[in-house]
Amino acid sequence: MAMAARARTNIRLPPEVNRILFVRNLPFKITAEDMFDLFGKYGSIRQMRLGTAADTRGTAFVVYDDIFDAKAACDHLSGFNLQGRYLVVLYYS
Amino acid sequence: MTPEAANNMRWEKEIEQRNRYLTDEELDDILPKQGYAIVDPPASYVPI
Repeated sequence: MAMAARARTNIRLPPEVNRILFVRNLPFKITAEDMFDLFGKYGSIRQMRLGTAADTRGTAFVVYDDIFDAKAACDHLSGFNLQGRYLVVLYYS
Repeated sequence: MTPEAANNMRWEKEIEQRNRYLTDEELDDILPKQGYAIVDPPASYVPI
């Protein structure tokens, strides 16, 4: 099914698009469950890293299995209002 | 082999290359480990 979807879209992706999303401005008390609910809607997640240190709290890395899922997630979730904070979602380079 | 088909083939190959499976070691090289905890999916998470 994914191949069919990809064949149908058949669009070229800009070079900066990749499967690793860097998310900022997350609420500190966000749980893994919330993160997986929010990001899991767009596709299967390969790995997720939540910032725990003082300087990395409120940020996270979300790695998707499929590049098109990551693009969909980034397009839809950047600027998403989560518990009063607007999410910043960037492609990790 | 029309030019469009050739182009599509090249794009498909490029997408496949960018979409290849990343092992854990590769991810560890790419992503910072310091200050970040790898979070494993909760029981309720069902990959679609």
